[in-house]
Amino acid sequence: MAVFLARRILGLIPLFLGISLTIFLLIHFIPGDPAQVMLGFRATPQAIAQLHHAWHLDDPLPLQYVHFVVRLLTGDLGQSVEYQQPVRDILWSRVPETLLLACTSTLLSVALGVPLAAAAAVWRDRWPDLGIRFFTVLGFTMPSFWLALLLMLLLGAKVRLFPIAGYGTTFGDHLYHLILPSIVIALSIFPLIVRTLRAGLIDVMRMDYVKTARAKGLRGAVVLYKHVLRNALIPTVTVVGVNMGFLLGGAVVIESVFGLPGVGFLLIDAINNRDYPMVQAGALVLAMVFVLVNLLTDITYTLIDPRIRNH
Amino acid sequence: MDRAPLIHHPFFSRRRFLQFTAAGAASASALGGSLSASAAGRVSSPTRGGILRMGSVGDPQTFNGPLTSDNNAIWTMVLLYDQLTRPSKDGLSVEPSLATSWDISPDGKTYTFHLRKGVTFHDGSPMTADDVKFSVERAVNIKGSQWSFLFGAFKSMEVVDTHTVRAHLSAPHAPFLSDVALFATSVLPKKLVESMGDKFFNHPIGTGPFMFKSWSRGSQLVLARNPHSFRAPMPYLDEFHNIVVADPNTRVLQVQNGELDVATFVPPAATAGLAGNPAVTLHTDQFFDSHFITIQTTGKPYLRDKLVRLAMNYAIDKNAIVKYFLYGNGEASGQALPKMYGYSASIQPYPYDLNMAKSLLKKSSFPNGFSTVLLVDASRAVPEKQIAEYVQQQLAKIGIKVNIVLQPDAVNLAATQSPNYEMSVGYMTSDIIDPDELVSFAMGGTPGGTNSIWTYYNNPKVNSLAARAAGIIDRGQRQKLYDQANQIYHDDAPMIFLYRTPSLTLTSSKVQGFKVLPTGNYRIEECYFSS
Repeated sequence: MAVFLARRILGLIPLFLGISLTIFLLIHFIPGDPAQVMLGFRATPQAIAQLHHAWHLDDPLPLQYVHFVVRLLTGDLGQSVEYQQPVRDILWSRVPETLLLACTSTLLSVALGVPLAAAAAVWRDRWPDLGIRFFTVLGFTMPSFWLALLLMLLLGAKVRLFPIAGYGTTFGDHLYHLILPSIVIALSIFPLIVRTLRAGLIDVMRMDYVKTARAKGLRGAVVLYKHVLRNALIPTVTVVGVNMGFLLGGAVVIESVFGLPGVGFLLIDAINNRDYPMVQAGALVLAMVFVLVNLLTDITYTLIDPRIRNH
Repeated sequence: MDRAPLIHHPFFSRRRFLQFTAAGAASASALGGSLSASAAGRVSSPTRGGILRMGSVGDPQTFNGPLTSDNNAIWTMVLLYDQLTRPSKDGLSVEPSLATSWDISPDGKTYTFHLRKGVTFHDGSPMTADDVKFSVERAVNIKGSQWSFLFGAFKSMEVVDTHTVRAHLSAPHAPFLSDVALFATSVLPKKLVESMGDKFFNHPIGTGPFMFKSWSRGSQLVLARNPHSFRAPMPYLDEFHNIVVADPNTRVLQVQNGELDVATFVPPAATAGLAGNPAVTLHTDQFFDSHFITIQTTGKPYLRDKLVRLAMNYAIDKNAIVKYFLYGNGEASGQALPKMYGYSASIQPYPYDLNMAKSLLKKSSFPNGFSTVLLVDASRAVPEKQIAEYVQQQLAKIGIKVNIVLQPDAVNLAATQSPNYEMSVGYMTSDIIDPDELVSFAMGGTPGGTNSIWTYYNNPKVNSLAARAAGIIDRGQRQKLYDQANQIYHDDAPMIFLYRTPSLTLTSSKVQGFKVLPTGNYRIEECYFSS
């Protein structure tokens, strides 16, 4: 296990260098200039030059990249041009909400998806299955922005069950404010979980050892849980892992509609404003998070399926 | 994704069009020592207490004034800090703030400010002339200052005694009193800023009516009443919460739902559904903005022809734009300046006259029309895109084919601010009460500037009128010069003049005393809840 982890981590270094270089080049070569964005119609050539100098943007490009990497090694993610604050502090302040929303929506989508998939598999091709598959298609195709506004209107404005927007102040408050957003996100993720798990369950249920288990007289639920589910879970774990990875990058649309202080909105904003330091460091951090989630997903496989452990 | 200018924009706050200057001229006569403390249209006497929750487009970027032009930052900074002077509520003049009175030398190069006595910072320490000198010079000289261009004539500030400062200019400069109303020159405690450096701005201290209490970045800024404010008995409120809600529809819904007390930048489309709801009040306040389509007048041959530009102006029905795309919230415009001091009331918008437009085009060097490109910022609010399509439709009627190019904010700026574009939908706003800046930036073709807001219009007559007006103190005389400049500019039509809009804000009907000033900010110290 230790060797496995060590090899994986070493392999990440060239990966991160590659990612950081690509982002750096991309953001610098697209048209647009942070000084221009900030100054708007007051963007005289002199003012732009002044800001470029203050932000070290007039250094030659390779030098800027080298500075960026060297600072990274000391944990300094640079100074945001837009906020005039360390990038690390700003990113860090957005992490709690992003993490909490990612967790609550993933948990909700799993809580919704797994039982529904099981029901769909067990009553395959009968009414429950057809109904569930219909709902998954609905959830998949409804645009999340529209769904968010709809829920906001119905459950937030008409029937004041939930707050319309915002994040709240205490932890309990946060959870309360995240209920609607989590529902919206879960409704768009759970269809994929249902479909992959249902397909996996159906495949496994056809296996001989399942027939043996039922022949032995084991109850349906026991067969399902002990023998079928674990074997069918691997592709589903992949789906959950990938989605979690995306969510940790922030759910941009949800964050802006519900007024949540998340990472996604922050980074999109940074790209639009050409806040180079924020984009460079932020994209790299996201890449790291994604890789970490992938690693955890791989470890989860080994927990579910012991055969993978000894690879 | 939209980027909000100062108007209806959903997601991002636009920082650009900010200048916080007050009308220069009448200043000398407009001295009086009184604070304008009355909340207009008060129906009940102010009750103390309560928390005002305002939903705004974005989080303040920073509280370090000189380094930013972000609206949200500026409008909260003027609650935390004070300046020597400040714009009046109607935006037509400057009034005393930390300076109670001032003397201007006969040669116009020396301004002596008498500071208000007994003013303290939020930590209890006294505000003195040293703090003023430090803050003003810092705004001009700090590395990365975005506002030093306003202080070209400023040389230095001298401390005469603990409550008197003297500013020395290299030449008479009428806008100077408005320059020191700029949020960037807010008076900060010298000792603390020098010792703490940037960290000071994580918990800023000023003399303003509100004190910094807490800041959950990207989410909520909490300010508390300054009990020692020199504007006592104001503020009436206990606390002011600035809550980030990027989506405008969400903000409006939250006011209707009681989750917020104020929602700024209400989209025009939402105004229709708000009438008849007694629990909320829609405020339509005068705002210094101006919308237009800039034309690169030195580029393509068809755009260099004045008759073509005039034809385009006649072909657009501005009143229809206001009626259908702004839901009546606006007025047609015929000049570059917003409706502020320097604006010429006698200049009418070009009337909608297709026949006139066609005949002008026939007389021009392009009687058979031509093809052109119109740039639109894709991240802007929906009306701008719809208006571009409407313009395309109207110009087609006179034989001009318009190709609309939608691009995100940063890309659009880069394209517009270069000589290669043809036409671009734009606007400018003014927190300025003095016309000098917008006139020299947008109308005067001074090289090294913005090339008349990238119309590349360079008329020596207009340039000289603007320069003369900047050096004269008399308000009436300046206005006459601006009237002449505005008329020439109108007649040369380097832009397609479009419209102006008011600020649209929704508040709970319990909120009293709320108004958005023409400079875009709000005096929260004057707000209170009706009982």
